[in-house]
Amino acid sequence: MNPIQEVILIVQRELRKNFRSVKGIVLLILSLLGGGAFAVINAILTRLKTREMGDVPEEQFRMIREQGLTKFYDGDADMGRFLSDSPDILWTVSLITIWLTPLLVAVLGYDGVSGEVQHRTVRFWTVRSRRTSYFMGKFFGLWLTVSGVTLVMHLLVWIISTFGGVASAGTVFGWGLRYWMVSIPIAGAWSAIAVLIASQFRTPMVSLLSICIVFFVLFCLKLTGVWFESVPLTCVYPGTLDNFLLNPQMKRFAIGLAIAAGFIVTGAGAGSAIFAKRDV
Amino acid sequence: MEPQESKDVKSEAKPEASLEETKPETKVAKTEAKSEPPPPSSSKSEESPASTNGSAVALAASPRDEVKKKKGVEYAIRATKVVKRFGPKTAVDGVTLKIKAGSVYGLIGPNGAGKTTTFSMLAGFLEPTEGSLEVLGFAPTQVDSLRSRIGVLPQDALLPNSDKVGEFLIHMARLQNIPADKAEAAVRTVLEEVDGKDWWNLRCSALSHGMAKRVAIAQAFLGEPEVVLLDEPTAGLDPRVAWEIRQVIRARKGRCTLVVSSHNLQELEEICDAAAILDRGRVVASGSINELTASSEEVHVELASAPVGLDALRQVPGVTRVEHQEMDAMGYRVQGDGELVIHFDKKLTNAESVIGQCLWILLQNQVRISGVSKGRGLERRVMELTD
Repeated sequence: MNPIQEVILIVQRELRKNFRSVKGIVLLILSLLGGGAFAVINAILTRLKTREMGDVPEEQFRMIREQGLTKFYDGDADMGRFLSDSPDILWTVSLITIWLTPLLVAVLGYDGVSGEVQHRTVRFWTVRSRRTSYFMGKFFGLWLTVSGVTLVMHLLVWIISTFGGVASAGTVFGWGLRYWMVSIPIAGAWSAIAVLIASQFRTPMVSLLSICIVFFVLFCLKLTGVWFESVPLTCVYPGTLDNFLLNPQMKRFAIGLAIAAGFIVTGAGAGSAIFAKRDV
Repeated sequence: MEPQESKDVKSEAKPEASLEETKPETKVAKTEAKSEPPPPSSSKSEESPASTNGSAVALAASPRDEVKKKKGVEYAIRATKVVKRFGPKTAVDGVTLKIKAGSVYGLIGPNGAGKTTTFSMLAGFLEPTEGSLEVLGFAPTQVDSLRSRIGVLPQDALLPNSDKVGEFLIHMARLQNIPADKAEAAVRTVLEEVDGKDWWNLRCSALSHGMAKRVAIAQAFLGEPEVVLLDEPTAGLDPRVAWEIRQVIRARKGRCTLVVSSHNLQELEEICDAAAILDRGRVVASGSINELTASSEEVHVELASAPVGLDALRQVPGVTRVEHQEMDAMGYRVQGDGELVIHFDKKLTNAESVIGQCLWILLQNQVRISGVSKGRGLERRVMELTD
């Protein structure tokens, strides 16, 4: 059996386990409720706006949005112009998703490896699959679970936005898909860091705390980068990668993708190498 | 098997030679002759995963394959001067073992003797600090080469709580490369073997300790592996469940090489062909159970009353020495009126003849007897050899 088959089998089990666990179900419901509530409120606001400010031309709205977005993305006019065409709600949901991803990753992934090492459950696997396959299965399982949860949230927002008259179905789903896809490499980067850290410990609670500490340190580094206007330093926090991944310029997009890939390869690679050598 | 590398001065075993002339040899021959018949309902009778990857359980192996198989698995396990250190503590200190294919081998010793550490290294859970280990000719961490050829029951490993028994075992089977369409049949077969055919839809978290142990044993037996490692298979179980599990293990005898680590010496004496006694990380003795217990060299008679006609006993053909002990090896007083230890030359006679003749003499001398046993018993032997 080749390693890919092993990884696929382990990922399938991880997905089944995560989406069936109380933790997974609660997070999914919270995502649905949060996304749904947000979408409903936004749809109501959009209707009100249309009714109250019907005289203001759409182009003027777009200009205001463009200016705001340009400012938000550190004066990147291309980004402002590009994103001003997308419905506000989708952009906001994307932002929320990207901000919530580390939380989702930490809560869903802290006990993936450490929980099974703690109770030696992992020993049932290590006689049947390569350690690296087991680790990569855990990593991909977490990544797919988080991406799945965010997809469900996005999907709900897309549906409510379409029926709420925010924009045409084509616009909503086109932009929505784009925003969701941007969150995928970011979720991958967070998942790789989380699995790397979590697998170093035998106690899930210690893993959770360690993940939170590392994520917070990365956030502080990002703030330091913002303060000193150092782009490389801001990039140590995967949540800032949307600045690159949403960019219409191919080069900026590729840089964002490369940084995310760097996180993924480093985190998952180092984690699996360490796990392969450690005693279980 | 041979712990020749151990610095044990107490070891009386001459393992390599002796085992080949006793049980394990018989077992190997039996295994090969049977060509590993699977259980009647087993899916393996069609095309076992093991047979597809060329392992030793192929049903219709050609003579050439048989030769290769024999050659390949003469020793199922080899450990050479294995050392495992955890920081400053040396848990296993130069253990050398050779376990013949087809035998049932016990790892015996008190707490902290290094049994579980040795076991964990054999299963690939731990990396040895020094020395080398081979299972079926491969390092235990070579998972792909050993896939489906080795089954392991780890001590105290919890089953995944969220999984149902059936889906957990199916997942294990799939990782062992058992095809999807045969996995369910393979799982049902092992579940039936451990008397758990009705547990398919039970969550692992809902299983009692005994049931969980059986499911864990089922996963170790999955795919008809050539080597099965069982770490404390009956630990923490009530006597009845422990007995039932012993029957399950006993039923596997001859179908694979079994390595059992246990505190339960009576259990090991019953099940094993041979064993190694570990103490403080070293092998202090090893050999066949007959050798370890000296069951082919001495007879013990527990006395409920004296006097004893020792001189008459010494006249029995083959008897070399007769001792009347009032204290056991640990210095505790033996129950009743002591114990007679009758040593004999195994080349001239055998235990059964000695028992018959000596009992006749003792009974004629009006001696009341409360028990007779061949050899010292594994428990007594372990007590003598370990601190």
